[in-house]
Amino acid sequence: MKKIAIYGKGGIGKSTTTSNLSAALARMGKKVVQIGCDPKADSTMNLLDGQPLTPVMDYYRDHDEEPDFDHIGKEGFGGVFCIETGGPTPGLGCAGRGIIATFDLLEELEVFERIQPDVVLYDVLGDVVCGGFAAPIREGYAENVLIVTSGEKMALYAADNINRAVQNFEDRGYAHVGGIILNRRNVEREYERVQTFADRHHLPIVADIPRSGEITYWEDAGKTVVEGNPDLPISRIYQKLAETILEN
Amino acid sequence: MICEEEIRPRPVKAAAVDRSGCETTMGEAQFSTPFHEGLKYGAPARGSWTIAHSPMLIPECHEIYVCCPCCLHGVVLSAEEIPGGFDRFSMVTVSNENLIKGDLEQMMIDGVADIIRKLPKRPRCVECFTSCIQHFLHMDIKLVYRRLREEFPDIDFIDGYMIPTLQRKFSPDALGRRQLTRAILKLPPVPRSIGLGINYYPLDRRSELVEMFEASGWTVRDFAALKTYEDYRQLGSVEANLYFLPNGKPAAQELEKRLGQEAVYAPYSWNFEEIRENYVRLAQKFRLILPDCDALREECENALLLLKEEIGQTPIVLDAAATPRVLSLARLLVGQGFSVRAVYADAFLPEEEADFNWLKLHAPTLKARAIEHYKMRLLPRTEAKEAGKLIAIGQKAAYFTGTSHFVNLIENGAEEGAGQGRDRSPHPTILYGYRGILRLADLMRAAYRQESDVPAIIQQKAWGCRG
Amino acid sequence: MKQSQSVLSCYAADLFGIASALYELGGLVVMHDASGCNSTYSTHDEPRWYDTPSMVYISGLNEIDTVQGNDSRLIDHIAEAAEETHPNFIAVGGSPLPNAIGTDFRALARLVERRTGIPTLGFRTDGIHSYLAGAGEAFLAIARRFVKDPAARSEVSDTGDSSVQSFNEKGMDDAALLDDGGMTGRSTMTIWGEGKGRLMSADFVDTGTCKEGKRHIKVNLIGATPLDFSVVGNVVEMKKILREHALELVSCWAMGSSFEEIEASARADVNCVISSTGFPAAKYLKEAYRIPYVIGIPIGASGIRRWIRQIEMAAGERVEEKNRESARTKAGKSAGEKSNPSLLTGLDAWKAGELSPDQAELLIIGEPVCLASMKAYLEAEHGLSKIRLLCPFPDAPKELTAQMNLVTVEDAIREECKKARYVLADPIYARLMPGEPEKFLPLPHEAFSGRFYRDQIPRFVGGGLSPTPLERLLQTL
Repeated sequence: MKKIAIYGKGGIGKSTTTSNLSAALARMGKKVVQIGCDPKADSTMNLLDGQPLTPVMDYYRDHDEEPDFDHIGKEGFGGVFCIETGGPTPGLGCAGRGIIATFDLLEELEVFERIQPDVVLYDVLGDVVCGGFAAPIREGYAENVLIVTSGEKMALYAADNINRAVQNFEDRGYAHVGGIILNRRNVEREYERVQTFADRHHLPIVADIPRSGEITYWEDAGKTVVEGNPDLPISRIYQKLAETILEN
Repeated sequence: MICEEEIRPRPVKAAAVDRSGCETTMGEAQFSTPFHEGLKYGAPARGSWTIAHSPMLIPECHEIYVCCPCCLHGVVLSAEEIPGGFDRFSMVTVSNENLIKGDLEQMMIDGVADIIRKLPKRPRCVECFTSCIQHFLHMDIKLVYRRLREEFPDIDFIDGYMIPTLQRKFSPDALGRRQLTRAILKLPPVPRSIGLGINYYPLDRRSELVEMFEASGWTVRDFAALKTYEDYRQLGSVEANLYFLPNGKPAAQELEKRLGQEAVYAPYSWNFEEIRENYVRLAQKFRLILPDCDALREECENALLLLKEEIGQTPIVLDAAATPRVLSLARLLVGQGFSVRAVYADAFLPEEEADFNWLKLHAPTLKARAIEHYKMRLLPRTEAKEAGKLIAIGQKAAYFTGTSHFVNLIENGAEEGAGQGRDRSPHPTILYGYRGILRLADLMRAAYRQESDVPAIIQQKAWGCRG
Repeated sequence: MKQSQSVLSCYAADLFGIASALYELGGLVVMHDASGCNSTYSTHDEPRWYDTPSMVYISGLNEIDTVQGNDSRLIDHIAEAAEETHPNFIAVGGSPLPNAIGTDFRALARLVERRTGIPTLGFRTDGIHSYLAGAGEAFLAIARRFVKDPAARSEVSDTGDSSVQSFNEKGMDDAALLDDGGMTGRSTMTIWGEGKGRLMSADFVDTGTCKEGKRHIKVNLIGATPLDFSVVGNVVEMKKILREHALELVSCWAMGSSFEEIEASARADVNCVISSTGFPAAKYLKEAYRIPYVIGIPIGASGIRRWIRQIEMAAGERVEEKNRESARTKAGKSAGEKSNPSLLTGLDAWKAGELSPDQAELLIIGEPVCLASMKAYLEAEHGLSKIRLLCPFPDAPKELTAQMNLVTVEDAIREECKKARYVLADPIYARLMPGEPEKFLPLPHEAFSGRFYRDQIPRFVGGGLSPTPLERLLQTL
């Protein structure tokens, strides 16, 4: 079982990347679990025909009890098992604690044992703001982190912060950063800028995803582009990334 | 029936440690924190009051704690141990559910309201306590009390805080004292009335301080001696408030700011000159008749001389829980020729700096010992046995030295007379000024002559507190 | 309002359970919480505090470290103390604030261990769960980390006694897990169960063990803390009962045994789970070392008989197992790692239970193993029927609470008390029934009322409840 956490600046395209990656892996016949770790709970929407999924913490809030296996998530495109941690009422409570509580529940319900996924993808809120948001990279969770960034200054700045945060955790036996996913915003000399960043941190660029109207088109239809049209060049890039991940 | 084999199990042996880090001499010690901070130990000397006890001093006040179980377990059982304490205590339990849902405000409003409705008698005052977790998560505390006051307009609500992790401005004890004044509202000032607070024991009515005020026609309202809720409210009518220790300052300042009652520091002291200066200042300020300080001083010196004749060079140890001015007391005893061996304190008050410097010069070999340092758990408690006889002033000093000759003094409070009874509900009063020194001499003599059942006395929680 | 307690107390919290469980084992135990918060444990939950110099400390957690997630001060302080005192192990657990910020105690333990070279256990206590979960995790951690594999040694006890009737694994689990209708049946109401054709010959106790003059059954007692048994001689009494029946005590977890004795626990033939706190460790030791366990406290003469018989039956099963395969299997060990989900992660704290409309003759409130054992005793020796058990712990091991009502909400407990003719519980519960003192039978529970009623806690283990008002009242029932 490969477990990977996807981090990156807010709005940089983590959920799009993660969902397309899940879809691509699913098309290769792999069993995938995608876990959205963000109170917004919109990570898996495009794997579920644009329908929002009831997050674990929302279920808890509404029912006063933890969901059982049948209510913890939902199968989406290609059998991808989608889970959203969700969070407390916005502005209240502790979102990080919600992520940890969801992970506890996954263990208690033996979700991975029952589903036996080949790949687990954690799609984590932009910044590692508190302990709960580092939970996906703790021992027993993701072994590798992929950072999504564009060539924009602030995106690279965030990537640098994330990389440093993960390095700080090294002596705790946490995950390692495995590489950079360049999600282009069409800024000048974008590849070079990201390449410089990657070289400085000795990280590979594992995918170079161009800006594409197709992604938006299919997302408007509630789908990932990989699901919508797997033959498009953009879809093939996600497919390639999926292969890279399976190989390493 | 306690089983010796279970309460003192054979396999547990203390790790051998030396005294480095938890003991130094006055000559070497640094002001104001002589010891390195690390893991902390809590000695089983429990006479000092805690946050669960002090609100019991407000008549007809009901305490409602809104906390996680680990916090509740301590306060509920601490209240339980006070005679009549349990009837004045309820709680609302915070669980993970509330952190995740973010309904901390609503659960507190609902929980507190539910408890108030179920109480057999409607309390005049309710002090609710919130804990670290709610404030860490920025619960809207104002909203909670606004709603509660709307629903129960006949009850005075006090916003209490049990937030030892979040000590930004006040220590838990200082904050606890301050909040006790929150339901005191402005009343038309009554001339020649003075408040004392916030202390946990009433001031000895025989002290010169009370005499000075009463002789000049003043009414002395002592927070620690309130009988009815009406008495508590009458604290809103005093002209000024005297406070004796730094932890009482935020309370006095709160009253000054809110009600215009002047806050006047009248510090505890065991120094003849400082006591005189204090009385002179108060006499000038409030136009009181100054007592005959020279005569009082002479009386004290004679008493101490007599005491010294009896106890000779018996070693004496004292601790900072016995009196906030522990160095002032050590200085008095050293100055009068007693054999003071050690002072137990983790830190010294700023007020103590002059005494600290005096002791550095005149008693450089006097030992300063920590109370909470982790090694204090492990060091042998056999000093009294080795010394033959040793007098401890304070519960912690008694525990650490293993002596049975001790003065049960807690924050300047001691039981009336010289007795060291095992009454579960003693009536201590505060030792203050010259008469305080005279009483201390009596207490020390009694401690020298009689042994006490130290474990039974010092394990009592919040000594002298009643519900 | 489910979360309000007008008159009730609350049970000792998880981190106090850890401290209590590990108290006598020569470790360095650190509660990661604000200075002063340790006094709850040392005052109310730990009768050994005054004279027994165990290293249980508080870290002095402060706001800025919490906000910044700064664990280095904690690690420095632990290392400083550990390097000077050389404890057998280090244990560190959290409180509400570390819980809220998600402090990773497993990682923290690793850092401390690397720094000090001393085995370190990290517990994600939150100060919200009960001592059952805390002490349960502590004993489990001891089992996983410190119990030594006895496989290398050949014990005399390995020669099986084939005359001992054994039952299959399922049967044992049934017996162990309170599965045989404890609520209703007269003859099957014990926690360790008899009946269903699993009865041993009645004279087994007297003739079985020492027949050949060489084989003693070796047992561990698991789940002993003053929180459940106080320090009034209950645990000593259990040891005495074992001795009187020629059973050898390997270790007692963890009152009265040294760390080395506990390390050697896998030598035992049977584990006796004497409170819920011992259950996770016993389950692990069964999976890892094939040591069967029995659950229950020997209360009354009938209770002693049943307890001993059950231990001997389990020992027989152990022998059969050993004959079949090596005592310890890798698979078993890893199964042991897996099958113990943490009791400290559950979120569900509030249960109103399913209220039964029937009036119970007697309602007993308390810790599950004590409840079931007390019920068996009262049924067998006082002829009571219609006893209802109420477990107020949402985090008690589920396997142990199948036959009892799980109720944590004060109002619901009050309703249950109202319906019962008599209530046997900690004296604090009497406040739910003001004006009905004649209904109430006090059985103080240190984990609930602390030291307050300690002098009234009976020695309930062994020959029935020692003379107390309770016994008198029982006679009037």
